[in-house]
Amino acid sequence: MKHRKWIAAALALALTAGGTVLGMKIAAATEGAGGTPPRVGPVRRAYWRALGIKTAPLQLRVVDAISQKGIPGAGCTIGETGDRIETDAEGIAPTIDAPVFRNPRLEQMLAELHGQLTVLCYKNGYRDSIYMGVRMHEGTTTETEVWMYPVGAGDRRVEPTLYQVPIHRLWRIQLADKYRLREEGEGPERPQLSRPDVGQVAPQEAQGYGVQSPLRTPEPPTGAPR
Amino acid sequence: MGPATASAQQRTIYNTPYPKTIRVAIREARPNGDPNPHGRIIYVKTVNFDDYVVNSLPNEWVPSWNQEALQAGAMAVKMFAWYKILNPTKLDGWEFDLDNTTNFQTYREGNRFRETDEAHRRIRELAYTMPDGSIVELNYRAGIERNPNWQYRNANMMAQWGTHYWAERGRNMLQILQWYFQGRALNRIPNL
Repeated sequence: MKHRKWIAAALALALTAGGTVLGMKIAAATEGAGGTPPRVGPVRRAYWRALGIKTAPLQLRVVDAISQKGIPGAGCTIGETGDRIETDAEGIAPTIDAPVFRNPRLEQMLAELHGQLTVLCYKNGYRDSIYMGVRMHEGTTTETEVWMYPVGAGDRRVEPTLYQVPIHRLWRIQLADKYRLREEGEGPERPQLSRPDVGQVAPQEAQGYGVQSPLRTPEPPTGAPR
Repeated sequence: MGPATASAQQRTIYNTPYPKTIRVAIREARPNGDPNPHGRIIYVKTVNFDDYVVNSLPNEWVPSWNQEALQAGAMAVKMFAWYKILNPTKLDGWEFDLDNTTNFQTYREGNRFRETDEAHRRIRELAYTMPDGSIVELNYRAGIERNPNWQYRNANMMAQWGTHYWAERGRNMLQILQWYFQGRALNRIPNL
């Protein structure tokens, strides 16, 4: 019972900081829509750390999609944190520390190999650009290039562009393997599938680099070198 | 067999310059989807060879893996691409070295990670070839997680999950490559 006071204090602190507790939003963002985007407070960040969510450096470069030149003065926001950065003369934004969020919904199926963030960039004369699923890996700096499309003559509906960064292919392979029934589909990949067709030679055989052997169990054969 | 005795017909690292560029066929993608391996070729883009490697590696290997696994991956991505430059593809009126899908290697621009960049930098001057320096295709597939993937070794292919497995057990880049590809050699690329 004596913990109640502490729990109440933590909740009150979270409310004042505009954070979330146990994944539930308890204070709606009051800004945005022309104002400064809301930035998450220290309590929510501490909460993420308590959950074991790590951070990694993220550097954005914003380029003109047509000329491929950097766009100076573009404003970018990290959707999940509200952190806002601006690009320099080369179109490069300062490196920031961003959380590595793995989608909890996907985690129920199979933990992602990386986190994903949403990046939104703005600049007068360009369509707003939304990048969803920007990949974040612990222990390495993500360098993402955001393309922005200039607004030109004839543009009637100037709407944001959205790019969805695909989830890593190794994760997709694992996920498909996890839910495949034994008799469904092509099954797990097998190295002998590189053989173009039944009866034909595989590329490495054609080059004289050994004959492919049939699929074997992953266990090492007895006496084989390790 | 040393460099001087290599056959004139064979493309080796001694008679073939390190590639400056590579021609990548860009295939059509569904909206918000990956490029379709059977999609229409929209255009062929010439890109800097090193840029190609560092923009492909993080889409093939996982950037948070051990650096030795990433270096083995960087070598595979580089040698695969180099071999394809020497053996280009003609299809539907296009000529290219490889495309941006899993037909060859997944290539996506503007998508780099410091660790994978570093892996490529560390192995850039090296090539994993036949002992005489012949450039051969280093093939790889995903493989199975938490497993050395013996079946890939038998097939002369590298398992990506296998590189992670071995690197976590202290093997270095060369040991990992040697485990999957027997009878090859690590050579320094001349004049680079």
